[in-house]
Amino acid sequence: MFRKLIVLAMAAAALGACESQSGALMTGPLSKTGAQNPDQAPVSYMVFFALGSIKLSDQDQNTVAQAAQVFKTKPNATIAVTGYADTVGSPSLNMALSQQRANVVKGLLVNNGVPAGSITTAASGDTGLLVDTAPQTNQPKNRRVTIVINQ
Amino acid sequence: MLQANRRSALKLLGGAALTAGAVPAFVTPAAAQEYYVASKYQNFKRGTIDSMNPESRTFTVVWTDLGRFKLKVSDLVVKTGGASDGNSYEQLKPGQIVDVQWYDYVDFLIAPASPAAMQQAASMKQIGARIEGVPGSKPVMRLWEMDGMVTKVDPANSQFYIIYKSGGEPDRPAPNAGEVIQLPRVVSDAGKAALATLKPGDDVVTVWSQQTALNVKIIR
Repeated sequence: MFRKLIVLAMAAAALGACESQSGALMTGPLSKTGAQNPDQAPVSYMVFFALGSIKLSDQDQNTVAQAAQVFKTKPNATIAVTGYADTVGSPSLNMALSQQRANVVKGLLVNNGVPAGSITTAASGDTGLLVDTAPQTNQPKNRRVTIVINQ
Repeated sequence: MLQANRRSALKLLGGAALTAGAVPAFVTPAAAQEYYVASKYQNFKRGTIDSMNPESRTFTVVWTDLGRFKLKVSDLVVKTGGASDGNSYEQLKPGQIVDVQWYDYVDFLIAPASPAAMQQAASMKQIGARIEGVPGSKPVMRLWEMDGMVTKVDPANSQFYIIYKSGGEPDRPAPNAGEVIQLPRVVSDAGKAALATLKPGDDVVTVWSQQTALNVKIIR
């Protein structure tokens, strides 16, 4: 019993001694893409597509709608929409496909109330892969559009 | 790659419990496991209470030296009855300057998504974490889970990003969010080893301790 008390006392002393570590390990709040202050950090979303498709699933349409809602809460924000493709097909085809995907997402953002002038689109084709793959690889995770809300 | 920051009850009883590290999970039945947050992750800060949320027993504090810094605190433990004890949660109010003894996020599990990893995460959440160096203490820290696909790994900052399907608020799930979330900094050695194996496209299961205040003392 006495031994337990000594252990407890030593533990308490150790806890007290940690006071000098003030400020250590200051992790920011669980933030969205970046800075410690989540109110100022960019907010990012990703939506995905079937092979060769520019059609969004219901879930991904919900994601775009959510992005639009977040945009509306941030004065002077802008949105960068970038389309990507996997490595199936020719680079030129994938460039066009990724641009079409970005355009689809932009259109849906506009339908959800985001001014078109606040949105920029870009196409990355089969470069900027999320998952590194060989040419002509069917990789769903690479067929995507990123939506970044900059504040 | 599976890492779990945990010790077994048998180790604790044997007095060799102060070495946490990378160990294979699923070895011991969940009921025999105890999870600890190392005391080295403890912080003491003075700040001003910004807001209170009694429903979740949390508050937000603004640190005096770091500017506005939101600290979400849960399962607040306040000792009473002694000269060095803090104030009860009910006495805390926005605008008060307080000294807070608290623990930041600590990674407990970073593992490839699998039924076993999800089961392990569920078990960890159910058990909660104890404070290292206080034998026999009750679990006082909630553990929370965030799973998703890795979109970016930032080894220099010991961080990674995932697409989280519940909107980035563990307490307020919002299905179909598709939002990219920056997870807290990985601080454990085992977690850093797991981080080194991550790459974009990996589906992962992660478990973290919540930012938890153990003691809050009102200064004025």
